[in-house]
Amino acid sequence: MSDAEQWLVDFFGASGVDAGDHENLLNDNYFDRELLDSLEIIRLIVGIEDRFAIKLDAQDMQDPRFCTIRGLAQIIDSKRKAA
Amino acid sequence: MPGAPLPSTLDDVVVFVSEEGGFLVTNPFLRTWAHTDAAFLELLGALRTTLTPDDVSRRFGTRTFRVVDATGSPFADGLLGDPTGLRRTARLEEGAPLALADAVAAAVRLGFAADDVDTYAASLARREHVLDRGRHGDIHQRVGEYVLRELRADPDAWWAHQKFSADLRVPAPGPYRDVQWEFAHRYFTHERLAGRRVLDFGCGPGLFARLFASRGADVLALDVNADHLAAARRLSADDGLSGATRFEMLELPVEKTLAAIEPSSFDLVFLSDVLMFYFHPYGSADIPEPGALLASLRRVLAPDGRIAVLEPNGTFWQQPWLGAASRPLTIVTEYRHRWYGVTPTLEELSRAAEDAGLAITRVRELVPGDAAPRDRATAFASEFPLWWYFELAPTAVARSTA
Repeated sequence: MSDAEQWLVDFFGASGVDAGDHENLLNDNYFDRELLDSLEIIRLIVGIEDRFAIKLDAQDMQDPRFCTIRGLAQIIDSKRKAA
Repeated sequence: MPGAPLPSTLDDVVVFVSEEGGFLVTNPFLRTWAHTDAAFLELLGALRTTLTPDDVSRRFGTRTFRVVDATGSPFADGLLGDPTGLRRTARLEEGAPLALADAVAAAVRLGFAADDVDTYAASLARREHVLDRGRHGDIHQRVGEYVLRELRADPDAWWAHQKFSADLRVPAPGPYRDVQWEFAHRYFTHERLAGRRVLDFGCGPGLFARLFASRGADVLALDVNADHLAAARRLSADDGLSGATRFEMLELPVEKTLAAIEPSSFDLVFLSDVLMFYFHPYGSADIPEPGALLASLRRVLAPDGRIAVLEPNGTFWQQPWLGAASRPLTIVTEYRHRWYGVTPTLEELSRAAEDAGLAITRVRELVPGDAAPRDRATAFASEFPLWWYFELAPTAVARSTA
């Protein structure tokens, strides 16, 4: 698991999402499954920006990968490389 | 940029003449603002016509334009402060002259012109979800994000700070103190309250509960916020009012908490900045329809009792503070479709009351008292009431909502 994936899994865990309940938490669409409410999603975005020193913009949020931990980690990693 | 398709200037653009000789341009739906020169206005004019891109290029290609983005956030001063979204310190001199292509891009970026007017129009709507970036979103959808992402602040603390002093004892300076608190302080007299049983529903840190108790009422105060309840108990004890105030947790669902209270227990049920959240819920809590909430409150009200509702004014709250500081004007862009407002329309409030077997028996539109500072906020709030007050009384029989 990459750095970003691990951080995201920890974030979901801290928000009360039990990884044990999800066969594949990394690939689940957390948005459709409503694992986080809207305020928690904003906290997630803020947390990512602070932890990885990147800025997530409207385009990132429209990216279909944004809604899974694996995809979101890819977005984070590509933005870290570009930074 | 010869030949490239041009955006169209929107119908929504409003221009003021600025004090410095330039112009102040706004889209009041988006609350975007810019200081501009006359050349930029001419360009906006041209983009409203059927001039071809080549015509525009010929006419403006060698000219320069000044456009200084003066957009702040409607939330920068908090929800009780200036909602205009104008950065009042911005000046036209700040900007370097722009070439035609950059000026056209600025017009689009600021929401004065759009490449596709239909897409723009569709963007003025509630977001379907938090990641929906194609829509502007309403105040509920935007304010939490603003506080968390822009201010990096805790929304609850940010909100409490606007209303109350750091120790939560007194109202913070501003319209909340000068309008709402001043009214309540004056209106809820000893004569009105002595010996009365009062339910303060959504009491926060107990500002009003302590006022009512100090004027002789026996108060039960409920709130969902445990921190506020702890502060309310402490402050009430400090004031020697513990005997006349009880602060209890408002457990969800609220109907269940209210159902546990004996019928006809109160002479006055008081809600300050609470009922609106039942019309426009914030967050994901499971809450009743406003009519159902009022019916639950009616049940615990004595037959000759009153429900007192203080709410942000449905027309003027969150409307831009425009015009001279001492001679305000505003542009109303909404009433029924609220993007900045949160309170019900008069009809919605009336229907909810009717559903609950209540009638509106008194309306007051609240303005600042004499002690308010002579500033833009007071001038605006003196002309355009920022809160209104309703008293609801039980009717003999609940009416249908035809």
